[in-house]
Amino acid sequence: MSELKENYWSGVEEFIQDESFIKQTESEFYDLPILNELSEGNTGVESSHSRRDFLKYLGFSVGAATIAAGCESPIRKAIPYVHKPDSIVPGIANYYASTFIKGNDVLPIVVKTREGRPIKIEGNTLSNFSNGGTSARAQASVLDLYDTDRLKQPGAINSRGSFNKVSWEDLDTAVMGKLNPASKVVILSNSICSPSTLAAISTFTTAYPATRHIMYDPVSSSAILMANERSFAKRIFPGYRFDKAKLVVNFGADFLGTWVSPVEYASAWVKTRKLKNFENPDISRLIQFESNMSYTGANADNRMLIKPSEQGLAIAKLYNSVAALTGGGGISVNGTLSNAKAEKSIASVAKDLVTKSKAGQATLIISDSNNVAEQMLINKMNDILGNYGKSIDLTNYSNQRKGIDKDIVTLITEMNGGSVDMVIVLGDANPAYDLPDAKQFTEAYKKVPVRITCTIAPNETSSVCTHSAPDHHFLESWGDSQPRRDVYSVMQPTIAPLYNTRQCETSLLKWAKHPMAALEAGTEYQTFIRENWKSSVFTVQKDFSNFDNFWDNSLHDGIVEFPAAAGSATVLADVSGLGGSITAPTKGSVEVKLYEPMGVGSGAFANNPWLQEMPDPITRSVWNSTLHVPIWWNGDDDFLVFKDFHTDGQLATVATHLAKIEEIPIVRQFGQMRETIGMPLGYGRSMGSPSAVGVGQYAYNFMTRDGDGNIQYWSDKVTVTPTGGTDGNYASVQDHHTLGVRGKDKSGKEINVDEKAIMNIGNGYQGSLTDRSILKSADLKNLDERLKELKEFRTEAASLNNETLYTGFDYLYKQGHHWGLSIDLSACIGCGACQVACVSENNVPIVGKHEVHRHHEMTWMRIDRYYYGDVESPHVFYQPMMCQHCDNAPCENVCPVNATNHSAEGLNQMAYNRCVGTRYCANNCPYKVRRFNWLDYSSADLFVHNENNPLPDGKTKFYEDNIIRMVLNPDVTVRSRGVIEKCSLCVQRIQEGKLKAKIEKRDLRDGDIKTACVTACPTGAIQFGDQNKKDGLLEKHWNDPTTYFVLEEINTKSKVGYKMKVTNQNNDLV
Amino acid sequence: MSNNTLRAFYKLSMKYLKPLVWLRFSSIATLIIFVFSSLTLFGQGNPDKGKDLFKANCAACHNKNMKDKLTGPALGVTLADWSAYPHSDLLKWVKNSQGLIAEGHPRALELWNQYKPVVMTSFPTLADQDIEDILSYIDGVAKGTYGVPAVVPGAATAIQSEKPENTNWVYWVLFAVFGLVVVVLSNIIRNLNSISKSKDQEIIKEKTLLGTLTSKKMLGLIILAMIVLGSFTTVQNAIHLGRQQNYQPTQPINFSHKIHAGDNKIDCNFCHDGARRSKQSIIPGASTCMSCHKAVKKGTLSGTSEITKIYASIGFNPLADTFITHYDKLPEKEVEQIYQKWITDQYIDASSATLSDASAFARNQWSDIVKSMTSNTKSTVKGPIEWVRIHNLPDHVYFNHSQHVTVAGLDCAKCHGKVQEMDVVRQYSPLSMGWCINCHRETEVKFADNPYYDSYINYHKEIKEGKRSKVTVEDIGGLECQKCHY
Repeated sequence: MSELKENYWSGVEEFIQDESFIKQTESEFYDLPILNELSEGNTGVESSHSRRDFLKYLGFSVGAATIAAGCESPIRKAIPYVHKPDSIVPGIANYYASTFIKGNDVLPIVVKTREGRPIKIEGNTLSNFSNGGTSARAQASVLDLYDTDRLKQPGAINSRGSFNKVSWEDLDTAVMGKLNPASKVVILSNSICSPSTLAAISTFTTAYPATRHIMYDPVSSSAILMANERSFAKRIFPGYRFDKAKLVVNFGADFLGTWVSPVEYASAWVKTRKLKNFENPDISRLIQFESNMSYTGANADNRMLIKPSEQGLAIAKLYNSVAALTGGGGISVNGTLSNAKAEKSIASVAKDLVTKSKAGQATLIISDSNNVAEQMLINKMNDILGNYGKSIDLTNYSNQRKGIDKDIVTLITEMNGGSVDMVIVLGDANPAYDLPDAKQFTEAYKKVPVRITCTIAPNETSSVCTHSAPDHHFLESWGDSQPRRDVYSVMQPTIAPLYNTRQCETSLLKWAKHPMAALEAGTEYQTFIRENWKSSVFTVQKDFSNFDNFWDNSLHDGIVEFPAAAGSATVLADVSGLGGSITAPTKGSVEVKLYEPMGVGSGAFANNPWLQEMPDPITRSVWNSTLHVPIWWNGDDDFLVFKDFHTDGQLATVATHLAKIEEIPIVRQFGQMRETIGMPLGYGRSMGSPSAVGVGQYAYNFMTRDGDGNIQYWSDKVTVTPTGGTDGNYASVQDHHTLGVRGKDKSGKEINVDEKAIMNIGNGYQGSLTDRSILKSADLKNLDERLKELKEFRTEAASLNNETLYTGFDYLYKQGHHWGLSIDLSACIGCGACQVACVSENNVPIVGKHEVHRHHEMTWMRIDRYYYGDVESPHVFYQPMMCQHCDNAPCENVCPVNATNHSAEGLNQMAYNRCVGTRYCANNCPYKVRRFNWLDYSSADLFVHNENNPLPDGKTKFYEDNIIRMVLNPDVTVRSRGVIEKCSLCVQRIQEGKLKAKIEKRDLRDGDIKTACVTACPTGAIQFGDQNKKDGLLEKHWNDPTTYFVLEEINTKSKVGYKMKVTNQNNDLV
Repeated sequence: MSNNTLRAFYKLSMKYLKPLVWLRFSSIATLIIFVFSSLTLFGQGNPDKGKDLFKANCAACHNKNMKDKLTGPALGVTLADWSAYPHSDLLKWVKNSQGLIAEGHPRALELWNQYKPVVMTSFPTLADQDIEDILSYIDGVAKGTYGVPAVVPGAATAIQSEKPENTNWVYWVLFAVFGLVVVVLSNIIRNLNSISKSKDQEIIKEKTLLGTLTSKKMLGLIILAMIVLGSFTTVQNAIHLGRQQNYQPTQPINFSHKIHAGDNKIDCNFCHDGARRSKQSIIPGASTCMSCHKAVKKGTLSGTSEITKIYASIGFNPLADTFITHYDKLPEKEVEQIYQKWITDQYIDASSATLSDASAFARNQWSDIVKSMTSNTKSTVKGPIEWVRIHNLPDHVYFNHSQHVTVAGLDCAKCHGKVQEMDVVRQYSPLSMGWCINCHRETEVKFADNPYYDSYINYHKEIKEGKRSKVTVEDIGGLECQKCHY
C-alpha cells in the first residue's frame, strides 16, 4: 500500500480507476442510463406526453400568452404599516443577538431579520465561547421556525389518539385539576443549561414538592459525570480547553463534529493549528483511536483503528504506559488489540504525552466512552500529565451534559409500577424515540395518567401524550443559557409567535401558580428571567451598577462572559482496582459503532430539509442513513471488500439479538476498522414532518446499557448480509461534479496525461500536466520541502501560460475593488456550516433525494472530500469549492447570449434573465461549480410536471407554502427553471457593504463585507477581502507561502486562494 | 461573439473614435469654460457647486426662482439688503441666524420680525466657501445669468455644431440610390438573359406584371416579409409587456401630492423617509399621516371624506382627539357610529343642514369609505391602507433608493417627475432597462467629495493629469449585470 501514499483520491471508484466513473468525470452533466430512468417509475417528471401533446401545449401557451398580453397587468398593492415601528425600516435588515438552543446544542448567535421576520443566523463575534462560529444545525434552525407541521395550538387527546384543539385556559384548568401538592410529577428533559429554565422548573418543584426533574441525553456523557463524581466528588462535565493543549489523544469522541459543544471545541482547537512562523513551525497534534471514521477522526494527524469493544483496553494500556513512564503503578489488563499497529502505537503515544508533559506543555486525553472505569482512567492520566488547571477546567465546567442514563431506567420501573401521576416532557426530549429502550419506555409511559408534551413539532413522544402544550420556537422565545459556568447567553424573540403557542417555562409558571404567571400574556417569562438575572448574574458582574443598563447591554451583546478563572486543585480517587471494570473486548464478531450524524443529530434535527440535504462530511450521502462498511487493500494488488459489498448503495440487512434493519444502503468506507461497521443514529423517525418520516433507518435499539445503566453506543455480535438489492435512489454527492484528481494507476503509470501533447511539445507542458494543482498538503516534517515545491510549481505554472484573452483589463481591475477569498484548508474541518449558510442566504432550493441521485443538487458551495496517505487509515482532505470567479473565466466566453460575464470588480456575474439554458458554461467550468435548474423549485411554474416535490412523501412542494417562503432572502432572486446559477460571492452583501461605506463617506474596510460562508465558519477558515487593498486581509493571506490556487496552471486566474493542509503527524505512528 | 470579445472590440473602437468625438466637443468646452469664468465674477464661489448645496440645504424653505417667498424669504431680493453690512455678517447669519439675532444685529432683527416664529435652520457645518458657492448661485439665478450661456462672438457656430444632426436622410438617399441600382441591374440582367435565350432559339414568353406579382417567388417573398415584420412587431411589443409608463391608478384615498408636496411644500423625504437610507422609499404608515392630521381634520378639496379614512384605518377619534384603545377589537358597529357622528357634526357645522340630511350624507359617505378601504383580502376599514402600487420593477431587478438619493444626490423628480403638480400620481418614467442604462451612462459620479471612491486610483490620476474630466456611473461599473440583477 505504500506505493499509493502520495496520491489523493476522492473515493473507491477513483482509487480503483473505475472506467464508468472516469467517463463520467469527463462530462459535467450526468445522464442516468435511459432504461434505468424509465424503469424507475417514481420519477419527478412523467414522460407520458407525446410530441403531439407538446404541440398542443405550445399552441396553448402561445395563445395564452397572447390573451394575457391583451389583458391588463395585475394590480399590485403597496401596504404600509398602520403604526410604523421606529426600529423597522423596510428594506433594511435588523440584527438581534440571541441564543440557539435545540436538542443538546447551545450557541450564541445573531439573528438577521427583514421586516420583522428572521431569515438568517450568523455567529456572535463578541463571544469568546463560540468565537463567532456557527454550526450547520444553527444555520438551518431558522427554517424550523417556518415548519408548517409544527404544533399550532394547545390540545387534549381525543378518542382517535390525535389532539383536539382546546384553549390555553382549558388546558391550564385541566392540568391544574390533576395537580395537588402530593402529586408525583416527573419533568423530563434533555440537559438544560438555561439558569432561568431551571429556576422556572424549581418554582414548579417548590409548588409540588413530590416533583422530580430528570434530565437525559440521547447521546449522553453519563459516564464522564459519574467518573468525575467519583474522582473529584463533583458531578460535572469538565470545561475542555482545546486551545491550551499541544497534544490531544482522543478515544472516539467526535469533538469537532457532534460531541457536546463542537463549535466551542473546534474554534478553540483550530487556534492551535494555524501556522504562524515558518522558521520554526509549530502546531498541535491530534491522535485519534476509533473504529468508524468520525468527523474528528477525519481531521486527526494520526488515526489508530481499534474495534469499539477494544476502546477500554486501549485506554487501560495507554494508562499503564503513561504510568510506567512517570513512575506510577499500572492496572492489570489482559489481551491485545486486534490491530497490531494500534497495539504498537500505544507506547509511542504515551511517550509523546509524557515528553510534552515534562516539557511543561499541556496535553489532553478525552473519550466518548460511556464506561465509568474508563473515564476514571482518563481522569487519572490527565492528572498524571498535569492537565487539570491547564487544558481541563473544573471550575468553569460545562453545563451541556447533565443526564445520568440510569435515571430513565428507574423511571421506566416507576411508571410501570404506577407511582408516577404526571410526566411533563420539555423541549426536544423524545424518549419514545431516542433511547435504546424506547419501546419499553413507551409502554410504561402509557400507564401514566397525565402525559404532557411541550415540544414544538410532533414527535414519537408527543404522539403518546394526553395533553399538548406546544412551545415557541427559540426565535420566538425569551430565554438564557449558561453553556459553561463563565459564559451566559441571552435569548430574545425576533418575531411574534406564528401560532397559538406558549413558552414551556410560562406553562410551568402557570401550573405552579407563580405570581408572575398572572402578568400580561407573553411577558410572564420575560419578567421572570429579568428578575432571575437581577438576583443572580447581576450580582456577580462588576461592570454595571444599574440593573436596567446591565440587562439592556446583555440583550444587545447577547452574551455575558466572565474572565476565565484558574482550574481547581484535584483530589483523585484510586484507580488501581479498575482493571476489571473496563469493557472486555469481544473476539471474532462483527461490531457496530453507532454515531451521531452531523446533519440530523440525535434525530431532533430530522425535520429540517436543509440538514437532510446537507451531504454528510464522511459518507457524502443525503436524505438517508448509510452503513459504513470497511474496504481495505490486500497489500499487493487489490481491494478486499466486506461481505461482497462492491458498490455503494447496495442494500444490507443488519441485525443483533436486539434489533434488525431489513434494508440499509452501504457505503464502502476507507479508514474503517476491519470487521466493524458504522451506523448513524437520528434517522428512521416515525412521527414528525414529511422531511423526517421515512428517511433512513432507526438504529437506537442497537444500543445496550452497561451495568451502571450507561448507554453503550456500540454493539457486538452483529450480522451483516447483503440483500442482493441496491437502493435505486441512493443519493451520494461524492462522485458528482468531480474535478478529476487522477494520478497513477495501479502499475504506477500516469493516467492523466495527454500523450499527444507530450510527444509534440514535451513533458511539463500545460496539456500534459499530471500534477493538477487541486490539492496540496504537507506535514510539519516535510513542510520546507513542500513549500519549495509549491513555489517552483507556481513559478512554472505562471511561466506556462500567462496570456489572457482579455488584455487591457488590468486598468480596471487594479483600481476600485477586486474581490477574492482565502480558504485555509488546515482550518477547514468539513462541518458544512458554510454550505447551509449559503443555502439560507442565497435561496438555494432543496431538491430531494431522487434529484440528488440524478446529480441535480443545487448547492452553490460544496465541500469536496478526498483521501490521501495510508490506504488503511487515510487522511481526509476537505476542500470547500465554489465559483472561483476567474479573471480568465472559461465559462464566460462560451455563453452564446452573454448571460455570464465579468465585472470590473472581478466577479463572474450571472444574469438569470438572460440565460437560455444551453449549459455550455457548466460544461466549460473546470471547477464544476455551476448548477442548472432542471426543474422548478420555486413553485412558480404553470405546468405541474416541471415542479419538484423534494420531500419523501412526494407531495409537499417545498417553497409553495407562504409560511415557508418567509425564510427567503428578499435581496436574492428566486431562480426559475432552465437557468444556470452559481456562487455570486454574496454580491448582495458586497453591494450592501459598498453602499454603507458610500453613505458614510469613508473607504471600505476589511470586515465591512462578509459573505455568508465567512460568517458561518466556526474555525475562521474562510476569509473575504479586496485584492486591491494594500496591506489588507486578502493580501496578507494570499502572500502566505502556503497559498496556492486550484488549477493555477491552466491560467484561469481564479480568485480563491487555498492554503495547503498542514498536519503534524507523530512519525512513530505512521 | 462573447461578451469579452465584444468588450474588447468596443474598447478598440473607442480608442480610435474618442479623438474624433473629442475634437467636436473641445470647442464647446472652451465655450463652457468661458461661461464659467464669466460667472465667477459675480461672487467668489462656484455656482455649480452652489446649486447642489442649495438643493440639499436651502431649497426646502427658499424658492428656487429666488424671486418669490416660500417658507423663507426670496433670496434674490433679500440678499441685496445685506450689502449694507459686512459680508462676514451674512456668513454668520447662514451659519447661525439665531445667534446673530441674539447679538442684536439690525438686519437680523429686521428679518426676525418679518418671519418669526419661523426659525431659519442653522448650518454650522457649511464652510465659508460653501456659502460663497451658494451665494454665487443665488446671485446667478436672481440675475438670470446662471444657466444661460452668454452669447460670445465666434462661439455661435460651436453652439450649432452641438445640435444632434439628423443623419437619417443620408440613409434614405442611399437606400433610394441602391434601390435604383438594383432595379437597373435586374433589368439589364433580364434583358441580357432574354437576348441570350433568344439566341438559343427558345420561345420567349414575356411575363405580365400580374404574372410577376403572383409568381411563386414573389409570393414567397411577400410571405417572408410578413413573417419578418410580424416577428419584429411581436418582439417589440413583447419587450414592452409589463411596462406601465403613465400608469395612474385610482387610490383608496384621493390623496393629492399637489396639495401636500406642491402647495404645502412638504419635503418628499418627510413621508417617504426610507428613500434616504433604504432600498425602499417607503409608503408612509397611517401614523405618519397623523403627525399633521391630528390637527388638520378636513381637506381643502374633500372635506371629511378622505381624512376620515386615515382615522378609520388607525383608530383615531376626531371628536375626542384621542386614539381609540384596543381599536382592533372594537365592533364594526361602534366604528361606524364614531365616524358617522364625526361626519354628521362636521356637515352640520359647515352647511347648517338638518340632522336627518346630515345623517343621510354621513351614511352615504361612510359607505363610500368602506368601499374604498376594503377589498377581497381585507374586510374591515380598520388596519393598513391598501394603496395601489404604481412603480413596479420586475422581481429580478434590485433597486436601492438610498444609493440614488443619498449617495448620488439625485432629485426625486428626476425619475418621478413633478409629483408636486400631480393630484393623482402617475408613473412618469418608463422604468425600462434602457432608461436606467442611459442615465448610468450620462450621470457623473460625485467622485471628489466622497473618500469611498479613493480606491479608483487610475481615475483620480487621470483627473489630476487633466486627461479625464468626469467619471460616469458607467465608468465604475454601473452597466454591469450584477449591479442590479442578483
